[in-house]
Amino acid sequence: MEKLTILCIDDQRDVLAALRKDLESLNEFCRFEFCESADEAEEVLDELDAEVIPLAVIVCDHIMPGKNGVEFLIEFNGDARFEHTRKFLLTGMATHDDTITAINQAQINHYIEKPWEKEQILEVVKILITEFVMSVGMEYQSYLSILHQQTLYKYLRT
Amino acid sequence: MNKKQNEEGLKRLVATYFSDPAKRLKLEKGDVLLEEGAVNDRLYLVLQGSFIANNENIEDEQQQLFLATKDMFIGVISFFSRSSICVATIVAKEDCEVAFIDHNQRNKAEKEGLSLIEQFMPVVVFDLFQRQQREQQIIFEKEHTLEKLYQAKKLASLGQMAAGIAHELNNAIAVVSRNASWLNEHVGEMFLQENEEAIRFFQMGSETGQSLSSREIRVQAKALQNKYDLDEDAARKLAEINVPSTIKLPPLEQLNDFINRSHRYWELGASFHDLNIAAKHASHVVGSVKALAAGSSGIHNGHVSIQESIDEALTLLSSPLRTISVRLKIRELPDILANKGELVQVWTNLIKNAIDSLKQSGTESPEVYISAKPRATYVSIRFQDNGPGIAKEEQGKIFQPNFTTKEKGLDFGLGLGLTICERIIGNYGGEISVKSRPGKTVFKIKLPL
Ligand SMILES: Nc1ncnc2c1ncn2[C@@H]1O[C@H](COP(=O)(O)OP(=O)(O)OP(=O)(O)O)[C@@H](O)[C@H]1O
Ligand SMILES: [Mg+2]
Repeated sequence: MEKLTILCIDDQRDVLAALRKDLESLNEFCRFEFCESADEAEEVLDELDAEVIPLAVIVCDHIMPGKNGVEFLIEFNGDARFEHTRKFLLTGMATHDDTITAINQAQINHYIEKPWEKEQILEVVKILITEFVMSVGMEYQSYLSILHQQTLYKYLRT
Repeated sequence: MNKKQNEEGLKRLVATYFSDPAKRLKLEKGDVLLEEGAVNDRLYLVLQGSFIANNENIEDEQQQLFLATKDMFIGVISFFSRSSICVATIVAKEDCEVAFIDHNQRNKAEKEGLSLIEQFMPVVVFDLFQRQQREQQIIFEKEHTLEKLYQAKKLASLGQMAAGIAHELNNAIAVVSRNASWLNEHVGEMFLQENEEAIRFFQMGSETGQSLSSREIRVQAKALQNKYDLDEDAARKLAEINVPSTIKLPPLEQLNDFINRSHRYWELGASFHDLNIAAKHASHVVGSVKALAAGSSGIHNGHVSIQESIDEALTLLSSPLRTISVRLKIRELPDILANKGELVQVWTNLIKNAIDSLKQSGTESPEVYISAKPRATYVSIRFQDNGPGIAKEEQGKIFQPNFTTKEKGLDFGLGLGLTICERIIGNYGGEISVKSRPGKTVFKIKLPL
């Protein structure tokens, strides 16, 4: 089984650490990349592409110095190398307008407002992983224990 | 018809029609001259005193739309309209005297063929015109006061709300921060008894948290992975701990185990570290919000450090300032007698304006520069930004209430920020002025010592 990558971007180190702890239970099936800025994330994207590592989910903070999360995800959305990667926006302050821009232009699959709950974020990430695995057409059986049941059924029924 | 012509016309009418002593009435304050809904066949002219309209819909005196004083007519509508029904109840506001004519009035026209109505027309129209103008004036004033009231209320309730939220949050933060340090201490103690290795990693975590950046960790992890032939996950963990070279690592077959264990202890400590920092940060923000709220609720003056009040404003704005560089040059300053909340509010408004301008224009390398220095009799404080500045023709207007160029979008303005600044600074006997050109806008404040 090939490990799936989850890329987390947040300019605050303590937020990344909190994410890391909450997502730890996925360790057996996932590997994590942590970045403190959108620029750094772009470098990591190039590395992942060069090594042909599947990027399943991006969890991205909204307000960051330099390129903000929505801008980053809009650009990322046009990146053909990662067309199946699921995008997830973490936001400290969701204003209506921003959220709409994000969802429309960056085609963000999910967003959560900070502070989050562990169960909540784990569930969302599992849904997104399932969507990724199924839309790429990977052997889903090997990831069964971290897949989101209902989402999986939806794919299997169609 | 102008006012003078009207006065002459009125004089003529009064002399001709309203000089009959038999057709005069004296009223005392509160007497009813006309009753709403009743029939009226008289046209009254006020000779002395004043009358108001009483109407069920009109509750307070400010709302009076009708007020008849000397030389004004009463009963115009019912007298000249065919219905003869009064549209309002007219009451004497004080002791009054009126003269009247009725429908039996003989036409005393100087010119042949001019009907009674034709003779009264110009004067009455003018009278109605004046009433209408008065009404408009009242409506206008009312709207204006309402708006002012509304804005004052909005500010006050914002302050109250902020204070309420701050209070609630502080309780929650206190619990978080107290428990974090308690746990920190006691978890440490427990480990100390049990196992020396554990306490060492725990303390490393709790003292400094994660000291390496994500990029440094990535580089380190790669190096460690090659050096010790570790799996990716273990290499990352080892890099995160940032083990000093003085710590001897166990032999390879135990290394993975060792790393997982140590990382747990380290992570435990780092969690407390992060908790404490976050709680401190949160309580600082709450403190600033409270100071701001105090400003709008009129708390008394005391000795205030300018430096502290500026720091508080910066904390309050730390989130939007994250993408802007802030330069501070504050010389040793004597405290001044002021209300800290109010000063924080002034600084916040000025910095917020700079931020808005820098962000909206997308200025490259945006910067806010704040400096303060003491003078013989006053303190001078400058807020400078490198945004596009304020157009010449607008510089005279920015201190006016309701002047704003932020009309759309998320950062819409009330145009009150600078008004509030000027008012507060003025109350302290200080001055605020602006100089602006593209790339350099400076607001300068002088506060007397
Ligand atoms: N540093 C600045 N750079 C450029 N323009 C500024 C600056 N400070 C103030 N202005 C201009 O002055 C106007 C009035 O400022 P003011 O703070 O009174 O109101 P506002 O910022 O529009 O609204 P608010 O009531 O929310 O503060 C602003 O709309 C802006 O056009
Ligand atoms: Mg303002």
